[in-house]
Amino acid sequence: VSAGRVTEGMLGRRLLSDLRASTQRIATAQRQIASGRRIDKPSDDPLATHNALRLRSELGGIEQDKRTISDTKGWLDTTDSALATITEVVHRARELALQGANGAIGQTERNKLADEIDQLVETAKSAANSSYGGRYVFGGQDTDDPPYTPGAVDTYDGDTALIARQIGPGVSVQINVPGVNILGNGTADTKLLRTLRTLAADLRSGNLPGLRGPALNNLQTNLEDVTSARGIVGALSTRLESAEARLAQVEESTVSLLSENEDTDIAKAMIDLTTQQSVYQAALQSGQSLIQPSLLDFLR
Amino acid sequence: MNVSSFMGLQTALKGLLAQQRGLDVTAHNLANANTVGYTRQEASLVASEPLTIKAGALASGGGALLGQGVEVEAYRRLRDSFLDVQYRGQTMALGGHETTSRALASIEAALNEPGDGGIGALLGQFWSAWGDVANYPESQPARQALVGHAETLATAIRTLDARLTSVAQEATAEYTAITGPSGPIVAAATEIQRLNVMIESAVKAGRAPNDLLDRRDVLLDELSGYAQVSVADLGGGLIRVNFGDAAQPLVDGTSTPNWPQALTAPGGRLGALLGLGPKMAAYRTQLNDFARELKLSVNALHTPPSFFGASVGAEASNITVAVGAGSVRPGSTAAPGANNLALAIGALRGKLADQRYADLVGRIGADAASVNRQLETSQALVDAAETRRQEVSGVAMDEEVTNMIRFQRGYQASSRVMSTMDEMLDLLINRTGRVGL
Repeated sequence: VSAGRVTEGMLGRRLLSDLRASTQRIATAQRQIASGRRIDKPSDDPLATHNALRLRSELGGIEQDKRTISDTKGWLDTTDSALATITEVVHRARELALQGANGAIGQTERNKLADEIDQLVETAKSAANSSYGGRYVFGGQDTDDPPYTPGAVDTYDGDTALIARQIGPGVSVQINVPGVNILGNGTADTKLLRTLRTLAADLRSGNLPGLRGPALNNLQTNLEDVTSARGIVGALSTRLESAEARLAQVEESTVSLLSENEDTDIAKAMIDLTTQQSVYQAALQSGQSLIQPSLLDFLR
Repeated sequence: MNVSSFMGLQTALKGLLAQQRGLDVTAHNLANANTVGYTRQEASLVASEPLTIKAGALASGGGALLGQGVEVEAYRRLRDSFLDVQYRGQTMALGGHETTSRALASIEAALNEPGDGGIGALLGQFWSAWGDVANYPESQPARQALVGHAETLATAIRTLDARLTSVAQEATAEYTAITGPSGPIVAAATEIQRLNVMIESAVKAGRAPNDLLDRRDVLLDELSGYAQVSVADLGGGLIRVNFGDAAQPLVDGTSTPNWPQALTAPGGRLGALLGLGPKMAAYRTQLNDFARELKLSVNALHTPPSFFGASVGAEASNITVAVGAGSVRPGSTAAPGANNLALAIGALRGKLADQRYADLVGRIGADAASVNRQLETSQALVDAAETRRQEVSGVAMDEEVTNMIRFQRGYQASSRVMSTMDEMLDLLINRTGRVGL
């Protein structure tokens, strides 16, 4: 049979299917430009979709770690300023003890000094009751209640449990200092509150040897407790800063990977679109001139 | 033997009639230029049986054969049945790929990945909510938010599972509608059987039922979209049609069609519809693996009470959040600041559950991408097969118009022959032997 015949039906079909393919490509390019995304559904690029899910999950984790770090920094700042107050309390108590130990001053003066020590106890307790975001930072895991009660009772009302935070994938840090480690429980220890109470009692009773020896020694130990706690908090803050900086770097590279993975290359998409549009127009024009004339047009 | 003086008139008449038939066929072709499935026809002309003239007809004294004009031998249908087989094979593949592609596209739309509304994003928000609870274990709003995110996630998983189930159900319903008593299969089969009867009687009467054959071919094309169609020529214009992997022929000559019949792997659209059920079941198993992993990994840490509830083996279809904001346990002790469990659960981000989900999305994406590519290929192949069929069987205007002129001129020439004969006979009858009158 006669191969190589070309019929009007063939031309029409071919033109139609070419036009259809061309409009489809125009629509794809337009969608990619308008949405800014190369992948609209998993079948556009199954592997890239798989990667996108992983990268997005990583980004979510980074966001979460950043939130945790910023919250933890607030917690540590609160802890540090409370510890600074307590440091001042220790310094002042030391001055008062030295004044009281001076044999030249009278008992009335010593009583005044003792009253100031009582005030220092309240200051220290109120610093230890500092809270951040409704949480008492010195109460161990018992974050709901203030660890100390103002007034004569010096009992610690928290626990010694540690609080951990995750600041990176698989990286967690202890962020709290239980107040009992610094201020003590008021009895049967040599921590700050007990030291201050003894100091006040010694001042009132005029126990000069006690003021000269044990009081100053204990205050020195208490100061070391506070200083070492501040050192730990400071080191932790530095660590958070560097973790935050590293997270920012990881985030930047993850975002750029994600963008590379699924965002439209606008320049390329624009060129595609323009090319496809001119192809479409050319196809329409050639179709018009191809289909119109037949032998019928040239016969009378 | 002498030749009749009027024989020339007869020859011219035959010429006139034959050219006229040629014009008729051209008119029929042009009229059907845009008819679906039309096969162009051709009046095939042959010289008539010549007249044998006895010895002495020629100067040499020998006999001769004297031509007696033209006859229409047949009205031929210009079709290549091998191209039909190719076309139907590709149409079958196209029908199958179209159906699968449509179903997978609807699942992809339900997945909504990669995007902010997909299960992937919800899963990320769920893990982040655990992170917030780890930061504020004593906070009721943080736990409330966590339970809210968990509910959204569980609902999304159940919805996706329901969508997969309904795609399978829709496929079954479509299969039933197509193969049912008012479906297109039985309608086409019945008409093919009816056409068989008509074609057989036409063939017996020696007529060429070209247009009935066209109609039957269109029906076979239509059937081939639904399943594998194979046609056997039974002779006498009858055909036997085997459909899919049915045990009995769908149409066998003039007997009543055998339908319905059971199909297991018929190919084409019906084959794709049958295949969607197992495909969806496989996706559901994978979704279930994900839901089970999510449930088990969270519950292993958060117990008692269990965080997620779900019946074993059907986790995806009935996963629920089994705790309220009050019973969420951020830590293993009752201390308000205890957060070790929340930390541990938050660290599950990106672990096995996330990977299982990503694998499911990747698999659906890969399946859809592959069937879409196959769809494009089979569309191109159907187009190519149809183009080749049109090359042979399509009506070409220029060709028909040329034929029209050819037959018109032939007709004019034959009538000129007739008038010449007439003039000749006039001379013989009216003028001869009238000398001197």
